[in-house]
Amino acid sequence: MVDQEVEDILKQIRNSVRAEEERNARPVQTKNGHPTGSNSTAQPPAVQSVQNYPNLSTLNRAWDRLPPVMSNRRGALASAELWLKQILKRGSRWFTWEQVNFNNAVHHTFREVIESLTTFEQQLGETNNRLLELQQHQRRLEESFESELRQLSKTTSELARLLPALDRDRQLHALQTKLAALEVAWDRWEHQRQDESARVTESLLEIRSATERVLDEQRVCFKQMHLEVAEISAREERDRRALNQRIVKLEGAHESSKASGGSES
Amino acid sequence: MTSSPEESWYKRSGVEDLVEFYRTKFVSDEVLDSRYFKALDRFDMRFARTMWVFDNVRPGSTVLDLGCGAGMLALLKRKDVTLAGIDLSSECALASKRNGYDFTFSGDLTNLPFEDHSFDYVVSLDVFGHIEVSQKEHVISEIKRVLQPDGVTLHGIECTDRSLRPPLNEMTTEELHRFIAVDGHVGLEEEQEQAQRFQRFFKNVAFEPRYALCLTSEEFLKQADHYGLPFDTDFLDYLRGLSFEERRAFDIAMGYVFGRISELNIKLPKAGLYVFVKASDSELGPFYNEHRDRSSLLPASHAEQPVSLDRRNDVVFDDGWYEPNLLPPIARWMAQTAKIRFQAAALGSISFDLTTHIPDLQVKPVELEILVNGCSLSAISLYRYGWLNWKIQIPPELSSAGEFEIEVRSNRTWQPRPLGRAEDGRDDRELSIAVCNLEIIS
Repeated sequence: MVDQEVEDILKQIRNSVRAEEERNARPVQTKNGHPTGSNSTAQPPAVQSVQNYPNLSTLNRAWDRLPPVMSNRRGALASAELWLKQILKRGSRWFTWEQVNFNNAVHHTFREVIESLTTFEQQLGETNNRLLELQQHQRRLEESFESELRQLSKTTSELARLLPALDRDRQLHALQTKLAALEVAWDRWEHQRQDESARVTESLLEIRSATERVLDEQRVCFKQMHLEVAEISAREERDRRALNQRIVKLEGAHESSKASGGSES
Repeated sequence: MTSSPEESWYKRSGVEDLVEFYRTKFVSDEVLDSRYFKALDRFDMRFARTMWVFDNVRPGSTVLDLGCGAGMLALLKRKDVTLAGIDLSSECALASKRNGYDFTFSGDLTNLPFEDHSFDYVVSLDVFGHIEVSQKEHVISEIKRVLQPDGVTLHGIECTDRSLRPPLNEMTTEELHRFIAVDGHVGLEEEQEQAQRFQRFFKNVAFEPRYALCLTSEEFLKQADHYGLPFDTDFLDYLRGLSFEERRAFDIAMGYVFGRISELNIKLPKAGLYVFVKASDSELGPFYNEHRDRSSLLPASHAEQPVSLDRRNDVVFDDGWYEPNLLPPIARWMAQTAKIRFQAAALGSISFDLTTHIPDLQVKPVELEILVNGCSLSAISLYRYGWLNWKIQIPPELSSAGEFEIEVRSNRTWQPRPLGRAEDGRDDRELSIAVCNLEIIS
C-alpha cells in the first residue's frame, strides 16, 4: 500500500518533470500568441535543478544497506512474518534498492528544489522590496512633482499678477537705458563741444595772429611798393627832365645848323 | 627744354610732367632784381656767366633770354636793356618778371612768340643741355628768325666728355633716372659739337670751353657727388666743411680768376663741362667784354637818389648783409652785425621794417642796437614775430654829417638749415633779422 503510494508520487513527479521538459522544449506562447525563445529566463529555479539530474539515479553505494527486517507481531506470527519478509527481502532486494535510490534521488532533488525555491523566494522578496522602494520613490516624486506644480501654478498666477507691473518696469528700464545713452551721448557731445570750442578758440587765435602777420606783411609790402612807386616816379621825372634837356639841346642844335645852313646858302 | 612729342629721355627717366619738373627744380624765391645787386657780386663765381653776357651786351639794346628760369640775367637791366624772357614754366616766367624782366612768356623754345628780327641779342644760360639733340636745330633756327640780321646770340651751354661719361643711350634705366634727376640734362654734347650746330645757321661762330679751372664750391661738390668727376677727396672734404662766409670767399676768389682769364683771353682746354658760344651773321667783336661797362654796377653819385636806401646804387651794404630774399616783401637778412654806408645832405630820422624767424623768440628775445656813425641811438628787445617798424631820430649833432654809417647789431643769430634737407638744401647762413624799406627822412 505504502509502496504503491510512493510509486504514485514518484510517477507524478516524473510526469510533472517530463511535462515541464516538454513545455520547455516547445516554444512558449505568449499572451499575444507570439512565441518566445526556448531558453526563456522565465523557468523557475526548481525546474532547472531537476533538469540537472535527468536520470534521477542515485549511485551512492555507501548507503547500500537495507534496514533490518522488523515485525510488530509476537511469537510465531512474528517469526512467520520475519521469515516471509526475509524471503521477500532477498527476492525484492533489487526492487527495494531501486526504491531507496529513487527516494534518495527524490530527496536530493527536493532539497535542491527547496534551495532553489528559497533562493527564488529571497529574490522575489528582494524584488518586492525593490518594487516597494520604487513605489515609495515614485510616490515621493509624485508628491514633489505635485508640490512643484503647485508652486509653479502659484508662481504663474503671481507672474500674471505682476506682468503689467513688469511691463511698466521694462518700459522704465528701457527709458532709463535710453536716458543713460542720452547722458553718455550728451557727455560725449559736451566733450566734443568743449574740444571744438577750444579748437575754434585756438583757430581764432591763430587766425587773429595770422591776420596780424598778414596785415603786418601787407603793410610792409605796401610800404615797399609805395617806395618803389616813388622811386619810379622820381626816375621818370629825372628821365623826363633829361629828355626835355636833350630835346631842347637837339632843337638848339637843329636851329643853329639850320641858321648856319641858311647863312652858308 | 621744349615740350615736343619726342621727350623720350625725360619720359624714359620717369619725368612725366616736364613743366612741373622744371618748376620744382628752378623756381625759387631768390631775388635777382638788379636793383638789389651788390657790386662785389660781380666777382662771385655764381654770376660769372651772367657777367660774360653783361659785358657783351650793348646798353639800351633789346635782349631775349631763352629759358629765363628765375631771371639770372636780370642784371642786364643795369644796362638799360629791354629784357624779355621765355620759359617752359609759367612760374619761372613769373619769377623773372618779378625780378625785373620787362616781358616774360611761357612757351616752347621751338616756337617763339615773337616777330622776326625782334631782338639785338638772343641769350641763353644753361638751356641747350636741357634740349634734346633732335630739337636743338629747331631752337637755333627760331633764334635766327627772331634775331636782328646783325644781332648776336650768346649762349652758355653745359657739355659732356664722352671719354668720361657714357651717352644716355648706353645708360641703364636706373642710371638714366639718377642722371636726369640731378639737373634734367638730356642734350649734353661736346663743346665743338655744340658750336658746329650754330655754324650751320650763322656765318660767324666763336666758342670757348670754360669752367675747366673755376667752379663754385657747390659746383665742385655736385660734379663730384652726382657726375663722378675725379677731384681729390681731401679737397672735397675741405669744401664740405666750409661755412657760408668761407664758401662766399671761395666763390669770389674763383669768380675773380674766371674774370681775369676772360680779360687776358686765355684759351682753356675743353673739359667736358661748359662752353660759351657767340654767333652772328655779322662780324663778331671780341669774345669777351665787347661792351664792357660796369660803371652801373658800382656805387654811383647820390645826387637825386630816392630816399629809400634799399635799391639805391650809391648805398653800400657791407658783407654783414646777405643777398635779399622774397619773404615777401623783398628784404635783406643780416648777420650778427651789418653796416650801411651812404651820403645825405641832412638826416633827420631813419625808418625801416624788420622781422626775424629766429627760434625761441619769446623765451630769448633778440636784443637789437642801432648806431649811427658809431653813436648808439636806440636799442630794443624783439620778442614777437611779424613785422616791426623801427624809427630812429638822429640827434642834431649827427644830422648834417654828410656821410653816414648805420650799424645794426644783434645779440644772437641762428642757422636755418645747417645740415641741409633734401627738398631745400643747405642754408647755414648766420641770420638775425631781415630788414627792408630803409628810409631816410631829412
